[in-house]
Amino acid sequence: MTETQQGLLQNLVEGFSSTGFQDEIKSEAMKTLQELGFPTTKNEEWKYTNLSNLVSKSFQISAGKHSHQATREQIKRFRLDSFKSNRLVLINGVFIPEASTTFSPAHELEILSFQDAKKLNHPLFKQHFSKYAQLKDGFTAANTAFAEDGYLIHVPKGKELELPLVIHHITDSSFDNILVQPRLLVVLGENAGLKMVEMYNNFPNGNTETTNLNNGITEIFLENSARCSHYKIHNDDSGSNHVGTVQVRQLGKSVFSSFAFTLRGGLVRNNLNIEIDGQFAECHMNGLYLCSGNMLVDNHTFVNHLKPNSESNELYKGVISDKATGVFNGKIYVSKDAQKTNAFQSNRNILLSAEGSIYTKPQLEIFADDVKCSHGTTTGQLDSEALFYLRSRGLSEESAKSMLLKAFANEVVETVDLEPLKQYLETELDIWFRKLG
Amino acid sequence: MLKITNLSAKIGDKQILKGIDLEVKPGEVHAIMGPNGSGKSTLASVLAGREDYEVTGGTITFLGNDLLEMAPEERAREGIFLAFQYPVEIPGVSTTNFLKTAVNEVRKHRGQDPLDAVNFLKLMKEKMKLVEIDQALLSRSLNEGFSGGEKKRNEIFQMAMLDPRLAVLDETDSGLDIDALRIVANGVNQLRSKDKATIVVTHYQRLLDYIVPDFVHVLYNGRIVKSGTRELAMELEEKGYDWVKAEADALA
Repeated sequence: MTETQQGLLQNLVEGFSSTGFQDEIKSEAMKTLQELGFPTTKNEEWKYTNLSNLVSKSFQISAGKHSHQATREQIKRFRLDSFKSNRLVLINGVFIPEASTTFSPAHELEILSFQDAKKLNHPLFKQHFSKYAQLKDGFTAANTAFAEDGYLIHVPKGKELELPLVIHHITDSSFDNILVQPRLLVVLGENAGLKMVEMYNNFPNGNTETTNLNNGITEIFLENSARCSHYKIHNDDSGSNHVGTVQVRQLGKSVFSSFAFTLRGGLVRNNLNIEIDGQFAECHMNGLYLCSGNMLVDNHTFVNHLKPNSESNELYKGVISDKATGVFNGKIYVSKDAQKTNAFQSNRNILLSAEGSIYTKPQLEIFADDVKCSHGTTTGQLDSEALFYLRSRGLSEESAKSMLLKAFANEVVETVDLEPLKQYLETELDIWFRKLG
Repeated sequence: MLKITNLSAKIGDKQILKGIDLEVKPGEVHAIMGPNGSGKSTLASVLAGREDYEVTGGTITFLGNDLLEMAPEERAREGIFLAFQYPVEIPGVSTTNFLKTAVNEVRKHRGQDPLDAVNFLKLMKEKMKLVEIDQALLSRSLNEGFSGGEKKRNEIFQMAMLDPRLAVLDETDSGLDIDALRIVANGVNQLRSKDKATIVVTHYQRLLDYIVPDFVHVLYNGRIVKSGTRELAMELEEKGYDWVKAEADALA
């Protein structure tokens, strides 16, 4: 453990001994956290994502116990009120009932706090909690050690939710540095369907002294033939940092689609791990990261094809400007038994400035012999021929640039299967690209 | 309308244009011919403002203004249109999509109100007929997967939409079969008027059967070495470029 890791780690160690909710899983996680500490750039998986500044700070780790200062109006600003959805609003990890709504009936959508799930001895909680996200680094360990105010989200067998579920993770760091560790366990029964959106926002408090770190884990389990779309959207201010893991396990014929949009923020690290443990299952991974200012966006994805006849499709695109950094690491693992796997991966980047950086690394590890796999990665500047063409028709340089960037980003936006969300993203992208001009 | 005086230009270290003089008046059609590598496309590119070329000497005035001072988009708004020899493919941007912005930029420059969606569509329908282009094609990614003929028809369609004062057609005939050539030429001819001018850059006389020029200039080695009327083009078709080259080389 190095000196720079004292801050946050120490807060957690001290905080842990004062919580009254310790059990075997948590104690184990705490032990792991103390052993591993937080990753440094010496760790290959964190080579380009330097956390030392962040974790050396002291954090308020049970911010939820404080009353938040958000007004109704402030909460409303973050909500995607343009479309009807089931809404779960969490401020510093605490459920805000007056801002939340559930339209879908309980026999279609079951939402339970972990505390209630434990009290009820809910079989799904017991069966699935912490079974997928591995304690392989300090962040998953820290989240697990403190996973108390999490939620179990369950869509029973055969139920297809008509309305999406939108979860607003709002952070209020106006009074201190805040660590929030949301935890979700999503279980989809056989042939069930759910579209869920996780939105991350911080109160723009104008207080540049404080920062926030959101260390979230979402575990998703798909029974046979279940379908899930999961959206993760960061459109946050530069003092907002995120290290999060979406851990998925899918069984036969299930379809999982992931969408990660990072438009603004500080340091954002998205881990997406998918285990395909059934035949004829498919997963789609779509990502768009727009990095400006001093932002760092790091997408690590890992698909593990364990059974034959499954398919994975990945498309991640990035635009990097100013002094920002983009990192993409996409690993596809095809095990010996996973014959007839189809796996495709593509990562494309546009670098707009000389000071920006992009590190991209596709990795294929294939142990089966009858598979179709491909991967490709490109990094370049805006096509000068295309720019000239548009300008020669009368478009200003700015609008030509913004049109080309929008077209580049649209390939990912097009994959969005929630129309109102697509409109929201298009509006936000317009603002982003116009600012570049 | 357009006056080019002693224009020279280079790309990298390579001097391509070595003193071009040319004057184009309203209503005229000028053909620029010449062997490969003579500088024809460079001249077209310099007129449109392609930044890969560095103008090393001379002047160009367009409607009394210094053209070389203008950015490519300003030239377009002033009324210069370049039909590209190799139209660029732009994934994710459709013709309809960018042309609406382009048309309204040009209108704004001319002090006209922007076209709303309905009137834009009306204008499109009218101009589509000129080059027999399908609306479905215009909604697709620009030039992506278009045939050679479709690309060139799209260029002339854009020209019709933007209504330029000076059209520069850079090897618009290359890669076209005879039917496509006729359609493209028809489109160009219908846009001719007494206050507009056209510069046709071409290697072959073929296109000039359809777009009949008032003047023909032969560009060789970065200079206009011979000027004449339509008959000059016929002569080149018959005898090739060697005799012009020989004449020019003898003078040099």
